[in-house]
Amino acid sequence: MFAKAYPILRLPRRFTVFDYAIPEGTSVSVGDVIQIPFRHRTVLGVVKSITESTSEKRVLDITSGSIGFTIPEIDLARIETIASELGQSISSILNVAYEGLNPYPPSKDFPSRRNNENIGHSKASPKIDLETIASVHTVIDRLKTDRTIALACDDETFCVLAHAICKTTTNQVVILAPRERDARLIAGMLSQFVPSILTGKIPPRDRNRILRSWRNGDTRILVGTRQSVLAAAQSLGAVLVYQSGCEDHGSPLRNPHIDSVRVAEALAQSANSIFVSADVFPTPSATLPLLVTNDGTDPALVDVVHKGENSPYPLMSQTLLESIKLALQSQKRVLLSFNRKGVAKRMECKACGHVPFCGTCGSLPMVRLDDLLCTACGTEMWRPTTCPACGSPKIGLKSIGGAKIADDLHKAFPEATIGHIQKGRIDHNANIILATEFFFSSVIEPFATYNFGVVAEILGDLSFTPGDYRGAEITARKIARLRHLAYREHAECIIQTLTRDRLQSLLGAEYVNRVELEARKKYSLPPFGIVVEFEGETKETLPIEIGNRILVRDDATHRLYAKIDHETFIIWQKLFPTIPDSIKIRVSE
Amino acid sequence: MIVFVGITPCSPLMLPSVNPERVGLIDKTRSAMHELSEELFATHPDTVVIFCQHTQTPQDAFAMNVADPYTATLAAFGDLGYTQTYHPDFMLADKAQRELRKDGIPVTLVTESDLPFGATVPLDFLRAHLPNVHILPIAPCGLTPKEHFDFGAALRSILVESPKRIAIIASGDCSHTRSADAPGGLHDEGKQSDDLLETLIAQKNTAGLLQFDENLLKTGQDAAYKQIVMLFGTLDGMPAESRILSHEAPFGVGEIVAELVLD
Repeated sequence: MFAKAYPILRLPRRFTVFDYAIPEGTSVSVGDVIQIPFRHRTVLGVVKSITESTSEKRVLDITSGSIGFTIPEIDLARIETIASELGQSISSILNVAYEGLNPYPPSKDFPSRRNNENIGHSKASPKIDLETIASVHTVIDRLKTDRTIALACDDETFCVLAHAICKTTTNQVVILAPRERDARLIAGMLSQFVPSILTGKIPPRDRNRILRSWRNGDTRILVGTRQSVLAAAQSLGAVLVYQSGCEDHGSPLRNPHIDSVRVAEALAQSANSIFVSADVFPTPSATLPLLVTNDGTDPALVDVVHKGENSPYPLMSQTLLESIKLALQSQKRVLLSFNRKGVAKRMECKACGHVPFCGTCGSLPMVRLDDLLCTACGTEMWRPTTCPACGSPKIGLKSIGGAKIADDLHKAFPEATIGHIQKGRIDHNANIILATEFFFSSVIEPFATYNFGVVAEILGDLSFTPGDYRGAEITARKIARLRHLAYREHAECIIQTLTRDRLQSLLGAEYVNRVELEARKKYSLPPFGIVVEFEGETKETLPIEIGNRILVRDDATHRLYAKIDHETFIIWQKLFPTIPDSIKIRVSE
Repeated sequence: MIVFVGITPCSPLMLPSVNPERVGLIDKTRSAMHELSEELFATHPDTVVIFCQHTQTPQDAFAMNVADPYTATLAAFGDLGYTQTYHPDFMLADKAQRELRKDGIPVTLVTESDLPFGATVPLDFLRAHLPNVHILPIAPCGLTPKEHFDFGAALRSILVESPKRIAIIASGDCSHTRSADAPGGLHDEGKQSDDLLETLIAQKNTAGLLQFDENLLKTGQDAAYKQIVMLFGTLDGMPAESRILSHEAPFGVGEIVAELVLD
């Protein structure tokens, strides 16, 4: 007998199943994780099928039979689909899903010394208002009719909902968080259910224990990052996604480029379980009905170019300055969101338009007060006084950065302390906090109180990135996030903008969701179409017969991309294994 | 443990940044290099031992280049923006030189932080998915082919005993006289030499390789022969199946890509 097995190992996309002979007396079944020889070493593999013959000339024996871990056929099929959609080898996806799994069952007598770190620690009971409880009741009622929903809610409501679902269901519950920190926060709030945490920082020994325990059904609540939704469960009751719109769920910098939210949805579908994709503004979906619990505080949209709003400080309207002043007088703090580091966006020559880039890696450097700093490679450069291209002295700063805003705040409110929170720099105690995205991803916590009197976005239009169809969605999410924070803090919410009418249309999750879906349908964008990107130095060797579609080159990113329908995508999927691994394939669906 | 053995060309003309207009002419070799890089990636090596010419090669001893870091650039070929850094496998280099000297093999250590194009170009393809792999470049010398073979055989015993997963690459362009615009002009011996070399690699014919006609090599201006002999030395006594992935000479220089699949 022969076993066709997938090695659990990162492999190029054209590598599929390998044939192995099953020695007499060894019992192997489909889905069993076995040990197999592969390229002069022994690795784990998953049995895809068992046949009586093989077309291979030379076949090696499997090293050992089942290690006591089985992946159900339905889960294996799910992983095959994920690999096919991503244009990656099944082995690579299995490697992510079962990273840390080893042939040795965990010893109950000698638990890891770090074991306790993998169980959420209890937090002091947070204050939950009646409105949140009512919202959660609404969601629970809705889940009785719709098993899968997109939920527009704040982080606190999500935590209470997760708690309620964990309490009511007897089956396993998996909670997907975008980052390790979030997983630990959520696990801490669910500590009474003794959840396990599965993130990239869990040591392999504990991973092995968690994966086995999850598979056997001994672990009932699993909170983690992407691996948690790839691993097979025993009897899944609910899949909850925290901050489903967060880009960290599908970081293009991490290989394989798995969109964990889609994987979570597929997991819920295959297990016929509850699926909740929650965020302040979830990604518009054609299949998931949207349920909105609360839109937060109504914001004041302030047109910064309006005459009446002129102030001595650029990007600081009179309305905002007045509100900050009032908040400080009332002993309240101020949160200003502005996602741009440095004193300016870039340097630019007014004579020839030349923009100095990093001489080492070619990235756009951050402009600091005295010099330029490349955030990609860490190179520091002098700020040129004359244009390096044409020699003109007309080289100067273009646009405004966070450091300039902080400098202006110092001048406008000399009695207040200004904290500029960005990666690697946190000042919690300042009266005025000027925050980048880092604050929202790594500092702010659900149920914490910050005593904010004003919550404001310095320029709400910054996230309308050209070339990215998700610009409106991201902007709507940022506004919703501030509105919810203002609501919790009973603070005033101010959004400054250059395009007031455009931003006005992005208020209200239900409305934005409907309008966005209509626009995407019109232009065949996800979720109604698929965007496939190809990136790599050998893109010119792409097979021309790839659907006979014209691939568009994006001048900004030098990527080739195409918008295609689902039928064409099915044809393309078959061609993906023929494309060399040096070309990255990214699929947005 | 030796986990991978391959033969690659090292022409910078394979790189689009150096040869943007005519890189399409060498597509077959480039595809073969990509395939080879995927096969190498599948073996997940810790160290790549690469036989290639160094800038300064002693005539009477094999030179191991140990520098930390190695810097690979292509400025000499017009690509001013290309910079890659690699790190050496100090432990392996130290063990190899001690053991080889004990066996009376002439070995010397050199430090050239600028990696020669003989290593830069193949590594550009091969290291695409292996960013943390260590390298150990070893250069051939003026000694006889038999001595090159013996060096390879002596090195094999050290590499086989190593707990690390080691890949061996022989890097070099074959004859430089395959067309009128070739660096060495047109000589029929160039094609004869390359064809014979391809046959001997395909047959894994060590005896034939050691008896290769010197005149063919000299007139054909071959620059890969010695590296391939060293590579065959490391395969001495090991069962392996040869697989020629491509052989072409679009710019008048023979380029062979091959993998010797270990059993």
